[in-house]
Amino acid sequence: MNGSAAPTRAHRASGSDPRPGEPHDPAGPGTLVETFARAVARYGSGIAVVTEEESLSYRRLDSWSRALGATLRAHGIGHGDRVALRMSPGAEAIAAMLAILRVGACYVPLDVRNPPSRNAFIVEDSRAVALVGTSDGCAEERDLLVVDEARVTELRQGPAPSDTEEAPPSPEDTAYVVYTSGTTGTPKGVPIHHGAVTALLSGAAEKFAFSVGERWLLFHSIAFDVSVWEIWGAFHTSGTLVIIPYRTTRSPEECLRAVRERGISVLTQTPTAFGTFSTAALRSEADLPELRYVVFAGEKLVPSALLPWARRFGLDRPALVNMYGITETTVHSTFHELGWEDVNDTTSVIGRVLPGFDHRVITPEGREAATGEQGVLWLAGPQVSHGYLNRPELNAERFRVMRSPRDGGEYRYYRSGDVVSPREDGGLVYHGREDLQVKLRGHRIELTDIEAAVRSHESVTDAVVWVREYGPEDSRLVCAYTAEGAVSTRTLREHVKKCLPSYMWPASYRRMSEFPRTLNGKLDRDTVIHRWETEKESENE
Amino acid sequence: MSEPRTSHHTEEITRLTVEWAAEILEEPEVTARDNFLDLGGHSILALRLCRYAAERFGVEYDIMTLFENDLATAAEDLATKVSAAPSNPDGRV
Repeated sequence: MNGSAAPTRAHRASGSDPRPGEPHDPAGPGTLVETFARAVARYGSGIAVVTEEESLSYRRLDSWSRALGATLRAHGIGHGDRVALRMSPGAEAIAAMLAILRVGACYVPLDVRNPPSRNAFIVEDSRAVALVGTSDGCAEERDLLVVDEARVTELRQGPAPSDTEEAPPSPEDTAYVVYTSGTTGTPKGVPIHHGAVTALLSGAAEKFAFSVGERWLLFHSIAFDVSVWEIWGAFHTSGTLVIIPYRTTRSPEECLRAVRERGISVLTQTPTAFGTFSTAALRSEADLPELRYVVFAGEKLVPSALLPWARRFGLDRPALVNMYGITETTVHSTFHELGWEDVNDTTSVIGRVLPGFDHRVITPEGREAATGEQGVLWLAGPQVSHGYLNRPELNAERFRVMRSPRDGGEYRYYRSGDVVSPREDGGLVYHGREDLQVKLRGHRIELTDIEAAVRSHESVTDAVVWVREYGPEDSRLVCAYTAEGAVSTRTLREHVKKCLPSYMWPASYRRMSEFPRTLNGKLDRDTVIHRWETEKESENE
Repeated sequence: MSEPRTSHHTEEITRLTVEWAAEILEEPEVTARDNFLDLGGHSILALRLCRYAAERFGVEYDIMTLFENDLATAAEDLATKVSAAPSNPDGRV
């Protein structure tokens, strides 16, 4: 991947392509269209996208997306429109995404594995005017214009229209609308504007030491906002986006092979997915010399789970970075590079907020949390969404203008619903979702802490803990777990006894062969709980 | 003649204690060596266990013994109380 020639700054000064491996300059805020144009100008002949079938230079991706943009515009799609995008990961999906952004519209990703009813809801709720890709019925239902994959592919070869009228978006214009389920059931659309993503990219560039020519893996569905980080992380650094088929992402061994053979240098993973990836890597003899960063996102990271990985691969190459984030504040909000003190502990340090953020940690009593004290995290800054689509009540509840304790200024804060505590060094420790913190017989209990304790047993691969109502005034902690090899309930009880106070011991354990995952690869807690009840019911029959 | 009778009681009471604990805790894997709290028992469930004992023997478990020792010890303690209880002069199980 990286060129062997020594990097020279003269190349960039003279306007030609920068050399791979050269230090990457963070770009200022702007739009994603400008970010992409900058990469085309700097690195036109460089490979923007590589799939199993092909490699596509920045220049070719530019002309393809320009041609596709002209087609969209010819259909009347333009500034402020929302366009549903339903495509499998591939060069076509990336070209389509770029084309939608170029005409000043925003894309609304629909997961190809979503049930049609969910996609129909998203199309309806977002008032999308068109669909690019393959419809699962949602476009026909709403009588949407469809630009199908064949048309997208066809335009790949066509010459770029010479003098097209483009309507470039501004940083305040929406770039995408991602739907999240949250805990309330009805999916809600989170619009994220261009400036929010470019703020993320330039903020992250200050914390990472990215080089030109990094190879980023597109591991996540385009309907999961972590993909925004993967795609635009690549384009922002004039790097290469490596796209693998969905089935490869589902197999740890296949994924490991892809990371090795494709020379991936930046890998983003949920801690759950990395658990299986790490197991595969530790089983194999393979080295991963090209891998520079593993970025954790999407779930609470329990650093001690990384100890076996760290013993084998160290903590320098790849560096392990924990990034806490939420869709409403544009993928990532904090940065913490893990050290040995982290992996020897279960404390989930998420580090400092990214540059540009202003944050507050507010205790249940409404005070600013002191060092070590827990409270709910509120975030303000350029990465904060302008607000949910069509949800004024929810917006009033979650987004609030408050005075910053830091500089006294008034900012619009987003209430994350996550419980954190400030550290001496200005960083933060993540504790869990507000709704996963329970009070049982007078004790405040963090369910994820119990899960971490169960998971710390060498045979256990994953654990979910919740409070089960056995009857009136009889609520007990129960634990479902997955394991490799034989492990008895008694063994687990003994193990947990050593880690936790008695009020945190699960009353009952149940082994499951595997845990259900959401489409985004996150653990599906609700389905685990449901499965427990079903299994218990069938045993009682 | 009282010696074997008491040990028989203890054995029977231990069996019942394990059975009741398993039922109350909805946990099939209970043995006499387990501690009630370890198995997820809490004070309200302990009171329920005491009620079972009271209905059967007219005496209750000592809660602290139940919380701090294994079920066998709690059962032994109960057996002693059963033998000593005036309401149960025959020591009938």
